[in-house]
Amino acid sequence: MSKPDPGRRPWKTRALRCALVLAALLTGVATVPRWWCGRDAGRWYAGDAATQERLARGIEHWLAADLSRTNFATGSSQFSGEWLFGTYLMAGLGFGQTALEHPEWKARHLSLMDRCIARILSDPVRTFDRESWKDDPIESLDGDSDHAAYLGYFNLLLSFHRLLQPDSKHAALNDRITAALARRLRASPILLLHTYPGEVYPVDNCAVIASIGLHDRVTRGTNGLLVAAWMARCRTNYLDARTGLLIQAVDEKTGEARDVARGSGTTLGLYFLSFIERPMAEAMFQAVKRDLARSVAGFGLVREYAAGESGHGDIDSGPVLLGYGVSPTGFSLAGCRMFGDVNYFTKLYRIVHLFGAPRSRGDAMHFTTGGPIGDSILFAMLTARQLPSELAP
Amino acid sequence: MKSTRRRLLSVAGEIALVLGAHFLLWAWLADNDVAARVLAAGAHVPKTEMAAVMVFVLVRFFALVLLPGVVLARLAGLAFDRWGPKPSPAPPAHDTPATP
Repeated sequence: MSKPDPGRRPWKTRALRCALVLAALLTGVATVPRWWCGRDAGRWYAGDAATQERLARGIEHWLAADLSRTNFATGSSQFSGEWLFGTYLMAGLGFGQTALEHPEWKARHLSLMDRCIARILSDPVRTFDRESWKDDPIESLDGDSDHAAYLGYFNLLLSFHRLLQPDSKHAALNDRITAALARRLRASPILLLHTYPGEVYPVDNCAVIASIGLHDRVTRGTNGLLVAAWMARCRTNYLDARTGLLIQAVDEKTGEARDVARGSGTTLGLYFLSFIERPMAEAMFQAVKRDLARSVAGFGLVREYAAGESGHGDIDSGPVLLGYGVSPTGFSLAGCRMFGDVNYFTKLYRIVHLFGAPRSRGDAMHFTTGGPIGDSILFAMLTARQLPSELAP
Repeated sequence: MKSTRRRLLSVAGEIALVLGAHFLLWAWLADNDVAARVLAAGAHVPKTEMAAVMVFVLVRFFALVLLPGVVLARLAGLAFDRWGPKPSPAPPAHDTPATP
């Protein structure tokens, strides 16, 4: 028989202490982080003016900073050029959305959209697309080079600007680009345009068709049949039959999948399509929720690949860690806000707060780990909204 | 066993150390826009910058997600030691017979 160890607690007391310490540890991890990281989520979801304005002023800082490709240093001049372009594009969409949400900001934010448009039109921003195509996207509008990424995304911003300001000074350019994109789409046997020579991505074509559809609504144009045909083709050919997610890349001649359906393309594509085709965008969002959306301790994470698929991170997805992608997680904020999913929006915002590290300085805020492109994307995603009923599709 | 006061000071010191490192790294990354590179996946990202961002992300993860639990656990253990069942006292030492 063992004697009690003098100066030491009996094992039952020690076990009780361990249980108490473990319970405290788990309680702390399960409650404090989700509260701390999510405390601004409600304000973002509700469109709180002060919260949105701080980020808008942060974006204005980037607009004034005269950015160039060297600010991104991705190691690839094409990717850096895309990020420079994307910074102004997403900033412009964010300014448009906040102008809709807060009519008192309309004049100022329309003028900021003008600055974004001017930047996108500037030679340094156009260069990445010109280098890939060997001709200029704007000067070659009468030609046959598709320029789907530059023209599709840019034209969406132009159409959105025109929706907000029907007598937009960019109306003539918007008409010319829309006509060129519609003509090229009609000539494509797969109803998709090339992003770069030999490369066809359905997500970029979501921006193309959204820009045409939005232009049609503003001008009461004649591209309705083209838009309807594109939507039908997308449903049958470019949405994965098993998951409902958007296929990332297709063959330029046959339209057959060259890559699997992925989270980054689907979440960004549904954001673009929401401007003109709410039911399809919502169906894609539900597919994301069903197949990709996860939650860990109250933090939302979106997978890049559906179950049964796998792959690495790239310039589209950002880093993929344990299957979760930076881009699909951030882009999904827009779907949640547009389609009224406050619960998952809050979970996603917590992870954005945790790893984005928002930091206010003066009247402006930035997401520390995002830089110009991260700030702009989050500005567009956090302020994404349904178009008001009088403007809705 | 350390006194309660010393153990509380130790917990406070750990909190200050983690939060201090977090805020210093945060300010450095923000002022130099280093962290913007984290979104670029692949071999083209400079390894030193990626490492700095990863350290910040890990420190921030520890500070925001794990630290509250760790601190609560330390406080719970401390409270148990102070107010919980006490260990049985050691028996008094035997008197040794005096040598003649």
